[in-house]
Order: sequence, then structure tokens, then C-alpha cells
Amino acid sequence: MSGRGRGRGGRGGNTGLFNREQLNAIGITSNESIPGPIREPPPLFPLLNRKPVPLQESLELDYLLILRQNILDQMQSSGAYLRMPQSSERLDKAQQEIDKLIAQLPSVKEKFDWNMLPAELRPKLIAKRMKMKESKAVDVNSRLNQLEKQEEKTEKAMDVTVKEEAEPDEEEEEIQENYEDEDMDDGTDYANNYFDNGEEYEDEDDNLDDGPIY
Amino acid sequence: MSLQQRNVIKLILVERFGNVIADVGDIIFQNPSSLYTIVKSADIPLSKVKEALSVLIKYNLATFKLNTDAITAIYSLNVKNILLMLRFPKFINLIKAKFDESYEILVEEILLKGCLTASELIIKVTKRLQEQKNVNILLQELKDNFNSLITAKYVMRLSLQSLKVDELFLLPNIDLKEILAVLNGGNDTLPDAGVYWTINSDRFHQDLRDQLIVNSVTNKFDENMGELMRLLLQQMYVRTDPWVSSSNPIPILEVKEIVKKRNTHPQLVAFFEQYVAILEQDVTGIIRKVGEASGGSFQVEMKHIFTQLTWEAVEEIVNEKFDSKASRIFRLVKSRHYIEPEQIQNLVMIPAKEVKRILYMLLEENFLVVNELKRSATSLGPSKSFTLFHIRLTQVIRTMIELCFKTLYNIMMRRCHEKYLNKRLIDKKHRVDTITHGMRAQGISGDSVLDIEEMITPPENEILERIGKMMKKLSLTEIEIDDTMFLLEMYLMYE
Repeated sequence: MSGRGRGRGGRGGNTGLFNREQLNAIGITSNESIPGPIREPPPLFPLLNRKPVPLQESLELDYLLILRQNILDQMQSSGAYLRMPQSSERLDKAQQEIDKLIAQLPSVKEKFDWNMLPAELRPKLIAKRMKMKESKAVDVNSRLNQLEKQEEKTEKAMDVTVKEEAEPDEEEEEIQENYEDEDMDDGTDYANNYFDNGEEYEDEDDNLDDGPIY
Repeated sequence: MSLQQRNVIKLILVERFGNVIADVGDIIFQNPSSLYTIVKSADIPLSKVKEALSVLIKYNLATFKLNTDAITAIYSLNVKNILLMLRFPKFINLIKAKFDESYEILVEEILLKGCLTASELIIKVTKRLQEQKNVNILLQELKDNFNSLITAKYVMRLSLQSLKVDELFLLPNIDLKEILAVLNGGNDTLPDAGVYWTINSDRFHQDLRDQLIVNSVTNKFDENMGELMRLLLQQMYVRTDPWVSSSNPIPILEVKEIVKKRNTHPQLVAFFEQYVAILEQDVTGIIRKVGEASGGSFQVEMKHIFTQLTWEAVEEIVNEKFDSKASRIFRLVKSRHYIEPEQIQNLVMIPAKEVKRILYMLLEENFLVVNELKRSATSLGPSKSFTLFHIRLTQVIRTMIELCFKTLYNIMMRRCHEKYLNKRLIDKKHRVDTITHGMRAQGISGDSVLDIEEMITPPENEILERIGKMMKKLSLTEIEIDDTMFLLEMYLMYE
């Protein structure tokens, strides 16, 4: 059937996808009507030509289902499931109180190790605390260094071990000082949480005050 | 990276972490971006965006790259790990089948938390076990279990700096006395703070892969052959890295001795040589003989196995999607590699017009490709060019993965929709259940409990049952599709 049409190509009828010659080559002859171009999107819920094979049920699959549901339930009740804060106008006072109480539960807030995360993600209060800790650490280090230097001066002996110990300390101090400088840097101040939409300023601070320090 | 994938990922995140995180995830899926950009493009307060990013990073679903100032960073989504969340039930089941329940809970807690320090994990599991059964599980036992999970490489260290392979599986320093102190409400400084552990998905995939192979061999032959395959794989690991495409030779005598020693399958012992011969001579080519010495040694052809399995899957999908005539044509094209439409018409013995229809349907759905060979201008003859049909397996696989994503999306969307439609009823049922559960716990029974249970009317119960059935079906489909995706991923990995 397809053989007959060969060599008679080049006659009108163009779908826009293939020209007549190409169509001939892949076996569509001129005496077959070519459907016109489709100008509307396919239906949203097309009819299925065939019914899919029903799934086989087994004990193992049932157990997998239970596990799956279990995981989902636990994830949804854990602190990792974030909800949008509802606007305070829409809620009555009692609801707000309940929300505050819930927020204080240890399971509701997710705990983070802030050393694993970029500094800009720290909430304001924790960022402050961490900075304070760091500045203290610098004090101790520099103090130790000073003491060591004094010792060296008084002893006037080139003890190799003392030198080795002193070196990494100095480096550390430099790093931490650098870090502090960058914190002060105005160029990146959007990283430090100055933004406030004014809605829940008090709420957030309250929660953090009561939470543990990580 | 495709629209379907994006949709699926968003729904996975919605189901497990809520809308806020899903929105943030969606933004960094499109483009790795900075905190500033995320806040700008999402209608979410800054504090929430920060929290969302922290959660994503903690669960190892997002990664960040610090800028030069060491404070700000660019965040991007870890797509692979998000899709892995669909496979979590299988991971837990695997551990349960291989070890026992306390291992299962250990793994489950790690999966639920994303990453944990060893001490935190042990504390959590102990608390949970105490709540569940009042069984006094020994802390020492839990510690040993955790250590054996690490040595078996199911669990590995999570770290920002890339560690060496040995360091990834270094045993942690767990101080049981400190843990006991914490459990009794003491201080909370633990010696291994800052050392986080997470699951090693590669190791789980390796086990799932072996399971898949053993299952398919069992289906094709019988139980005994499955056992033989399992032992072959087990012996393979003695000499071979887990992910090479064909293993080093395995002396068959070793396997035979194990079979004899275990003596669980008497038939396999009696007809061992025959079973090996059948497996070797089978068309699928699962194992290949490489040496005759000492009863023969064999290679397990991993890559070949997965190519075969994938072909089977593709053929089955064509069969289900376009019916048997189409799968006949598809198989013909597969066996001839390149074939002209006229030849197909002659060989499959289906009316020419239908052959054409099916061919172009397959072409349209990307299961076939057309290669056109132009003849040089000097040669004379009626036809100027050859048109050859051909299957490009990798392309077909990608099409199928897309299809899987689309189906997954449809299923999840449907589930969300059903939940949304019947939200009131589901909530009511939930509340009634909580109340009756609470009453039973207090020791109240009889009429008052029945009264509350009757607050859900029979027609409502009917609807609830229908929804439950539908949810179960949809979730089952989700699990099954993930199986298919796993097979396809394995193929692409070996490719």
C-alpha cells in the first residue's frame, strides 16, 4: 500500500510538521487523508483507553504503608513542620495564649547547631549570645598569649615547645578578630537581623528567652 | 530538572514540612539564591525564611556555599535527597528484615531527625522504648547496635568539610554514664557534641539492588535459584567493590560449601551443578563463566543484569500503555536495532495502516526515534533516502522517569485534593478518636464511649471508609512507582 505512493511526492497538503516528501518517505501516501493541525490544548482529564492493572497487595506492602504513614505523622507533629504565623487580628486572645504556650514546648521548636549553619541564619538573640561568647574567648586567648610572652621574656630561653603552642593560638586570635570585624561591617548588615515587620517582635523574643541555649 | 520534578518535590516538602518550607524550597529549586533574594521573592517573613532554611540544611535537603565574608551564603536544594524521602519506608523495612527492632528504631529516628549526634540518638531511642513497652533496654546494647550500623556503613558522619572515607565511619565516642545522667535529668553537655550522623543512602541502595536481583531471579526460576543468587552476591562482596559493573571471578566451590553447610535448601544441594549451569546458560546472562579451574569461577554481570531488567520494564510499560500489538512492534525494533517501516509491516503481520498508526504513536511518545539516511545525489532510484526506526534506550528511560514524576505528581495532588474536600469529616473523626482513646486510657468503657463513637453517623462512616481505601491505593501506587524509579535510576547509574 505504501509502495504505491512512492515517487509521487511534492503534492500539496502540509501539516506544518513534515513536508510531503518526508511523509512519503516514512510511508504516508497521498491518498490517505492527513488530519489537520490541532489548534486546541488536549483535555485536562483525558479518557483512559485502558484500565490499569490493580496493584497486588501483600503484608510487606501493608507494613510499608504503615511505616510511611508513621513517618508522615511524626514529621507533621515535629518542630520541623513550619506554619505561617497567623495575623494577630484574626485570632482572639485565648488562641494567642495557647499559641504562646505551645511555642514553649521543647518539641515544637526545632533545635539547631548554629555552628553548622551560615551566620546569617541565626536568630537575633542567639547571634548576640554567640558573639558575646566569642569575644570572651578572644579575651582569654589574648590574655594567655600575653602571659606566655611575659614568661618567655623572663625566662629568656628559646623553648621549642612553648613556641609551638603559642603559634596556633595567635592564628586563632587573628581569625576571630577578623570575624568580629566582618560582623561590624556595614556592607553586609542585611545578614544581621535588623528586619522587622513589627508584628511579632515581642512574641519571638519571648520564645527565645525561654528556650535553651544551644 | 523539569517541571514535573519540581511539582513532585514541592508536594513532598508540603507533606512533610508544611507550606513555608515548600515555598522556600521551590525558590531555591529554581535558582540557587541568597537569603535576600528568597525573602524578596517569597511572601514570608524573614524569621520564617531563616527557620525554613535551617530546617532544610539540617535535614540535608539543602546545601549552602558561604560567600567570601563567611556570613552570607548562597543556598541550593538537594533534589536527590528530597526524592529519597519517598524511599524511607523501604529503608526502615530493610533494616528490620536484616537486623531486629531496636536497629529499626535507631534508623527511624535518624531518618526523622535528618541528622543527630550519637548520644542524642541513644537518649531519644531509650525514651521511646521506655514509653512503648516499659522494656528496660540496656544502653550498652543500643550503643553496640549503633556501632554495628556504622561498621556496616548504614550510617555515616555528616560534616561540612569533605572527610576521607575512613573518617566517615569512625566510631563515635559515646559516654554511657553521661547519657544516663542526662536521662535522669542531669546536665546536658555530652562528649560527642558536634559530631552528627546521618544515613548512608548508597549502602541502602546496594541492599535494595541485591534484593531486586534476588527477587527477579526467584520470579524467573524458583526459590532455590534465588538462594543461589543471594549467596553469589554475598560472596561477590568478598572480592569486589559494591558498585563495579562486573564483579571479579567468584569460585563456585566456595558457594557450594556454604550451601552444604547451611543445608536450608536440600534441592539446591542435590542439584547444585544443574542450577549453576541453568543460570549460566540462560539468555539473560546474569553470570558469566570466566575460568574452568576448581569447578569453574563466575562473574556477576551487574550492568548487564540491569540493562536486561530495564528492557523488560520498558517492554512491559509499552505493553500496558499501548497494548500487545505495539509491544510486538517495539520488540521487533529492539531485535533489529535499525529497521525500515516497510520491513516492520512485513514482519509483524499486522495490517499496514495499523502498523503505521502504532509506529507514529510510539514515535510521538518518544519510545522510538527516526533516523534518516540520505543517499548521495549521484545515485539514481526512486527513493532518495532511507527512514529507519530505532530505540534509544537512555532516551526512553528518561521519558519514563518523566512519566513517573508525572504520575507521582498526579497521585499526590489527588490525595491532597481528597483530603481538602473531606477535611471537616477527617478532622471530626480525628477528634472523636482522640476523645475515645483518652477515655479508654482512663479506664472508662461501655455506653459513654459508644455514645461518643456514635457521633460519626453511618453515612459519614461510609464516606470515611471510601476515603481510607482511596488513600491506601494512592499511597500504594506511590510506593510502587518509587520501585520503578529505583530500577531506572540503577540503569542510568551503570550506564
